[in-house]
Amino acid sequence: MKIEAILTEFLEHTQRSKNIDMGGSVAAVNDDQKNLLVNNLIRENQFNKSLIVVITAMFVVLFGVAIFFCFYYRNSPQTMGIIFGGSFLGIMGIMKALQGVWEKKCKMDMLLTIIPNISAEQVVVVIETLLNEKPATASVN
Amino acid sequence: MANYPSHIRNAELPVKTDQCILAFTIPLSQREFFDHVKKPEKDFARNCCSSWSKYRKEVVEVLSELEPGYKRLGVQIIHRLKANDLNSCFTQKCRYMILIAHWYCNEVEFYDQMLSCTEFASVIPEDYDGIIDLCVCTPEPLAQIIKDSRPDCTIRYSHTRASLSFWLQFYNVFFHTIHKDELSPNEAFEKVTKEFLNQL
Repeated sequence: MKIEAILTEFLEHTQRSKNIDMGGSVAAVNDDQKNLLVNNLIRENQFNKSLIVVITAMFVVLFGVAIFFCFYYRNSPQTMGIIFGGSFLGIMGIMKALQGVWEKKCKMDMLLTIIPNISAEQVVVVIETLLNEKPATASVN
Repeated sequence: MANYPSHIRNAELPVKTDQCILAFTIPLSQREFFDHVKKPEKDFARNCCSSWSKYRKEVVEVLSELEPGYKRLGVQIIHRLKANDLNSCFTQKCRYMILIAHWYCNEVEFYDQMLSCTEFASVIPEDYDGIIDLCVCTPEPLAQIIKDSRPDCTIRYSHTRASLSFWLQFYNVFFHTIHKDELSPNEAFEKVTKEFLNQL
């Protein structure tokens, strides 16, 4: 499950995903809902850690296979060129996947550091900010 | 302007967009939002909006996108409407006044203070015969008091909770319809409502 999906599910579960109305008040969020979110994030974070190990292992295997083929076909420059090209493209793909998982892991680590230490109401503010805003790229006053 | 029989109410007469006012009592910037969050007497920013980021995305950004269009049509936009300034909205020139405000404990939250139903109604000139569109959540008691005390005035309001981003879009189409087709508010409202329902 994507991190955005976990956070959106939390907002739906706490009835905070609705549009802003001109009357009434937003539903209260309790600690049970907050703890459920923390548990979901921990579970997803563990899955991500395993994913990082698998992708890194694939990275190493691909590198090893490429070296093996380089030695095996050392007398055939054309084959070596294909091996180099193929392994380069493969490694680029793995790097991209690793970067995506790493970004998710950073976000989850940040949330898992912040969320247990703030109130349930503040959790909503953090999540809505994370879902609606992008990191600042210029200095703010 | 054509002469209409006196029994025809204003809501049935064509209105021009430069006779319309769109007044906001709610905060429309980050500073205003956090100022209201800090004030215990303010309910809207504190209890109706989870966070500034959501409010910015749903309200402030939508309004800043639509406001130039409203102004091009000649609609008068009032930001940060205070209770004392409400009276100035009910001029002879203003035939259609839309009030975007929060309703809490039978009172309307203005930018500076709350106003009870009777206080609100007393501000309206006795001979005012325009239309007041209350984009306020379920303001039946207020509407009833205005109807009773200002019989010439036409009141429009929704029976259900109003989602602000929806209404901002709705009024955008509404003003364009009034401007283009020279319809009465009633006809324009019906036409725009049908258009919105068709899109569902």
